[in-house]
Amino acid sequence: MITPDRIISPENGAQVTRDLNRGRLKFKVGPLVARIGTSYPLLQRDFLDIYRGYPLAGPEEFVHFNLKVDPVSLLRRWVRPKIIADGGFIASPFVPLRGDLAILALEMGLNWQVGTRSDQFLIFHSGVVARDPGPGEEGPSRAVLMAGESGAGKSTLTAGLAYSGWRLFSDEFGLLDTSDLHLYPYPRPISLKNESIEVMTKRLGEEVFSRPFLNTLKGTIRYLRAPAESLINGHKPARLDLIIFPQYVAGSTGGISEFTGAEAFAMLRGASVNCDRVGRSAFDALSELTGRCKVYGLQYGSMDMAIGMVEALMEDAA
Amino acid sequence: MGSGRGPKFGRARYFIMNEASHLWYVPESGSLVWQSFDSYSLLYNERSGNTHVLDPLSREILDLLQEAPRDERALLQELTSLVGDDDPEALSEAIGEALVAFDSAGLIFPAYHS
Amino acid sequence: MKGLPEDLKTLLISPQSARDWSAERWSRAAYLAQSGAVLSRVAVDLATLDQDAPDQDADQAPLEVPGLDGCLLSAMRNGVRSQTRLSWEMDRIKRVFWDRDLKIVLLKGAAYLAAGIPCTRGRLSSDIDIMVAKDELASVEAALLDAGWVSAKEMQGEESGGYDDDYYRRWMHELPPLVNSERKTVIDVHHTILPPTGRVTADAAELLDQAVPVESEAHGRRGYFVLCDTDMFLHSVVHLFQDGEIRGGLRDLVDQTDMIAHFGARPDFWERLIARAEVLGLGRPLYYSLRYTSVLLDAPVPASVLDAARRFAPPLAVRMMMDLLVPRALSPSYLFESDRGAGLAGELLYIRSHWLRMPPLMLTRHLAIKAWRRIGGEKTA
Repeated sequence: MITPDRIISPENGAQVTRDLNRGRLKFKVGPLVARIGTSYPLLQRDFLDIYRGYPLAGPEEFVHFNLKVDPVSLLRRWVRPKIIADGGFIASPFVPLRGDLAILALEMGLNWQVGTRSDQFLIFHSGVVARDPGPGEEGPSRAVLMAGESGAGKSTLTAGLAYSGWRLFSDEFGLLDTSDLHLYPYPRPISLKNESIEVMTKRLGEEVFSRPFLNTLKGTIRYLRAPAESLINGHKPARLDLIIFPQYVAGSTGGISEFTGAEAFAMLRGASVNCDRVGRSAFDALSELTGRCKVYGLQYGSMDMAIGMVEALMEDAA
Repeated sequence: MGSGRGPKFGRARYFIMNEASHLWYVPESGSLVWQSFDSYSLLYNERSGNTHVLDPLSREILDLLQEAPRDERALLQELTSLVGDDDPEALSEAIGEALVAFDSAGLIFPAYHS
Repeated sequence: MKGLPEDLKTLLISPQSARDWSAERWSRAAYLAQSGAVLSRVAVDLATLDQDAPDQDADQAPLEVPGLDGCLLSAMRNGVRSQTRLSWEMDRIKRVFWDRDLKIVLLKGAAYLAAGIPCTRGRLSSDIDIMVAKDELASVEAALLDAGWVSAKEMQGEESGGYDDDYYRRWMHELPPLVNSERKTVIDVHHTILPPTGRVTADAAELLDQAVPVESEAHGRRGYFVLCDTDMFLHSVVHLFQDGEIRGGLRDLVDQTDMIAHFGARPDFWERLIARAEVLGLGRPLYYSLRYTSVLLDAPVPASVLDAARRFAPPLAVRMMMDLLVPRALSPSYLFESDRGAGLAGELLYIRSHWLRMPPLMLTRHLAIKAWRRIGGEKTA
């Protein structure tokens, strides 16, 4: 049972801040553990706000990722602050960011490490949510994977589902165990951009959002906190049952097309980040998924329409 | 998917330079992993780590080369007896294209007639 | 002398003793191993231990740190991938020269893979180095350029040719690096293993002559060759202690340790090695290699050989400086325990490597031209 002192919360904020200062803050994202250090007060505050509810990792847990996020120099701590994420030997392609965007440096730095060094999983660039069995119900948790190009609306749809009774796995990476075709949660704060922010704040209220981060390379960003339920159950995998490629089209009345065979295989492979590095196991897993899972393209015009469609398709995939 | 021809320096030129008269064979065919969907074949090459999609004719050609080393003319004969000879030119062209693609993907390797 | 971080050394030479480590200890050690580019090797070794001892005793219990198995599986997959890419590159290069009677000698990682040297397991490097006779260089380069390789410079959007290219061709022992435009793998084509400008030079013709074939059933007209055992070892030694930077060279020191174990049992290996180093003028770097592999990684170098190599040792002051700098430059440090000394040690050794590679006046010329070009308003962004 996870007790409040084992999660990041306002009550233990002082302790978390101390640990961040010392580079000893260890927290869990699904099956992965990250160790973070930062001495930058604004980042410490944003971190506490956005990572509220995340389980802390104890000394008995292996640390997969190490990240320091600090000003590039002493001068840049005070004068036009510049912040950079440092993963040590892991060369990262990121440039320093303005001080007020420090949390973006942390988010990108962590995603980069996970995306490039977690080849125990076949990773899909995708959003994932899952349905857990209700009280008294039997059977496994069942996941739907939403892949597709950036900007097709998968983050927004993931966010919508995550706050409509589905368990949030990720809006960024689907982590597939190739040995049993189960997905592992990677519940991170969901980064919403520009127009999506308005849509989702109207829907969910201001309370679940971070402060806005203005004038980033991608415009305005706000982080939507992962639902507490998803974090508490963040260690439980789910069977992958449904794969969709969502596409938001303004005014659409909804459309579904099914992909099969070599075409479905090719689309899935295209959505995978590291199939080359995983090798033969990736090929076998993709082949088996192609034979077993339904793969759909899904066109939608509103959030409620999309949620309804995903629920119907999941029902059908049972 | 898989590796196409190099953008700037295609193998095509190289292939023509070496004449079409030598044999082609499939090295270490045990390292090819097959999956079939509909009429298409998916192929994972453990030697390269690459994945390829083959249409039925290409699959047939690769199967023939896997059976025994053959040159282009022998392939044409075999395939003509399989699919008929109503358009020998198209068939010959298809074989040539498949060989260039296989060669460029490293699925086949040239050898001299002994 | 300061050694490698103890846990890193344990992972490299007796990984079975890491089984009962705590999660905290493993977290730090795995980071260090990854930082030194040797975690894939450690992962392979641990998996092999598991395979060799299927019924485990209490002291061979499986690793019980949650989350560690995933990290090791990831590392192992990377090692396999790297070796696949390397062997594939060898195949593709063979395709280019399939009908030519050309003697191609594989160097470094490709040679270890082809010759089955144990250090090939989990070795992370997919770039390929080959050596051909000097009068074949031009035709080899032309054939590669014709078959889809481009100059690495061009790949990065710079123009090829110009001073840097000239520098390579005139003073170094290799062509400017080429990149395969499709696979993005780099090939270095050498005609010897030492820069002709270095104060010691190796006789290229003799290296080629002594090379040994490695493929029993080759495709193409001619199978690959590798340098003979003593030369293969000395090449790695030169690369680490004379040619290169030492900094970040832990992997090379591990290669040498494995080669020592692998070749050391062959009859006369040590006598031949010492004699060969003498002939090629590579005594000094050999001395360093034997010293640091045996002290830092417990390489099984016979005491008599260490004695014999002592005649190649530098003066005491240099020896003390190297003993101070080399272990620090080779030791990775944990992100949350920074070691400022390591950076400085690396810098000093970097300067040393340049100094060894070129006569002093030429170094000045090289740096001056580089600086001049920067001042001259070339794009620096």
